[in-house]
Amino acid sequence: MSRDQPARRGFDRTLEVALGLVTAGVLFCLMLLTCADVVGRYFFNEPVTGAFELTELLLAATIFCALPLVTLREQHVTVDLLDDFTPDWLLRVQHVAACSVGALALSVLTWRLWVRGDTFLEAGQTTAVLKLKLAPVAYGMSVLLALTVVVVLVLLFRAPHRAAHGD
Amino acid sequence: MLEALAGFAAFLVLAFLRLPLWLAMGIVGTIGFAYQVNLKAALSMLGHMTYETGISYTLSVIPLFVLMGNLVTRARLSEELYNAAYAFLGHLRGGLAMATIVACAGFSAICGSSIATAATMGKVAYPPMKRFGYKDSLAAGSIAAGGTLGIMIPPSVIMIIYGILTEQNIGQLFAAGIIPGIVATLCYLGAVIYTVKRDPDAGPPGEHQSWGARLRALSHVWGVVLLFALVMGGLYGGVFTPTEGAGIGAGGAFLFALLRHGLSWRILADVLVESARTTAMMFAILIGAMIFSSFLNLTGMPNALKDWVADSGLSPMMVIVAILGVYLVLGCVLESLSMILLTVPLFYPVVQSLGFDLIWFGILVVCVTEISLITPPIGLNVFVLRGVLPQVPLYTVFRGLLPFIAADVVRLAIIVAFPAISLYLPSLMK
Repeated sequence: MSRDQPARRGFDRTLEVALGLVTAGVLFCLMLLTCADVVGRYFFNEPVTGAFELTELLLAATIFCALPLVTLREQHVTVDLLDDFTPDWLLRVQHVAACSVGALALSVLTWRLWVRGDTFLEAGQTTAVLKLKLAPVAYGMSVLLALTVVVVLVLLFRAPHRAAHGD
Repeated sequence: MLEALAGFAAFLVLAFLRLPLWLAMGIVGTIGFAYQVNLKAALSMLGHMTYETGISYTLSVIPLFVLMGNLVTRARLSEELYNAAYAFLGHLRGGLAMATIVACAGFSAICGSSIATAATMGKVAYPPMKRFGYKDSLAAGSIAAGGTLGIMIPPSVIMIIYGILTEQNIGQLFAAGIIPGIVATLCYLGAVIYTVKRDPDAGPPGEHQSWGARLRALSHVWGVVLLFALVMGGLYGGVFTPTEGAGIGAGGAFLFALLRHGLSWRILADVLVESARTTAMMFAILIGAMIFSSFLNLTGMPNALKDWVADSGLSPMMVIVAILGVYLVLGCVLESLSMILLTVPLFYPVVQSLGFDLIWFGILVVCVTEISLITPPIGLNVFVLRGVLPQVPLYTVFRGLLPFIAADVVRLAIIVAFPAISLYLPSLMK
């Protein structure tokens, strides 16, 4: 990541530290929750109430919090087989095209999850045991996807990252 | 049928545009769905698939197994495995490469990813091989090949995905992988022996160790044995669901890392974020593939394929061989997870209608996926190794891998010919 200029690094670092801490916390809780549930059930005959749905919520949080981070470092699986033979100008064209299409597609997805949140809100959907409201979950996914759109737009204005296979 | 082929073509165009694969699959899936039904239904399917995949309890097994693997790496269990294998095999010609294979197999028993296995063992196994004057081709080849065992010997992320796609019991799939994993290890050892027979300078012998030293080295691997026994025993005995087993495994690995090396907050945060990133990357592909599959099912391609096979008059075994052939070719050009997600939904109804066991087919799919990880031009394990050992040229690694690829083909034939190798252990579970 040394290729980045200081101004860019500010954005990257803020995002990586802030979102990284949340992500780490969420995944750690997921691990603790599963262990507590199993240990509680087999040794104390007292499973964690609502462990099933809490697991689901923590899973969703892990994935969608990490999505902007994965996108920022361009870690998504991409066909970069031909990078070694692609001239610079073509790589640049590909990069701009891929980022634009990607941002558009992610925007549609952001919108659809927001709509889903609206539907949940109107229907008053909750989880089965703990009666947690589901609308904020879909809204949260939508917000984190929106953040991913911002990340893709930031990448759009950066130089394309040529695949150094295996880094 | 035509729509499906057009969809695949559009996917390839977008993929070569360098659009991340998950977006390419998602875009084609949504547009294709809209073309088949209407835009409103497609948009609602899009939100539904994304939300449901993101919040699925069955899939929560993935981050936990990924976390377990990453924590185990931090706990330095890999070094102890290597030392134990070295104590027994190191004095043989090619012994360090054999020790690498066996240590990889051991590490695979607590790590569900081939890439992580290759990367971890690469750091541990390469320096001693260099010190004893091993040729880079054999050194790197044995690490890259040994790493592929990660997805055959349980736990295995690829088996989890396969199990979810085909609605098979993940515990049974895991059990099915154990003996084929041992067969694979033996085939790889054969490949090492063949290599040093042809070129004795490729792998000089290491030091001989006394039985006392051997047993001492062996006694250090109790951590790995305990974790494996806990997770697999719990799954096998039906005490845990896969998610619970993975959670316990991650918790156990966390305790090990904590006790062994005083896990700092910083390292813990790094491991957690790294695991979450890998998880998000995999879920992105899963979501894309789910959307693409909804479109594919509408085109009737899976059924058309089934009917076509039924009408073709091919014998069931020929169909299996043809499918494996398709995988070997696809494996050369496609990334393994996307390959599985795109093809398994198409192939498994065919395989099932021919009367084959889907657990057995799952082991075959894992086996061809392993081969895809080490075949040129984009064997993923090879590129991972390049990150760990940048000084070894790609060409050298691929040359060193040839005997291992041959060993893989032999193993694939054995597993096809003797289904009992895969099905005996799961049959005990019922």
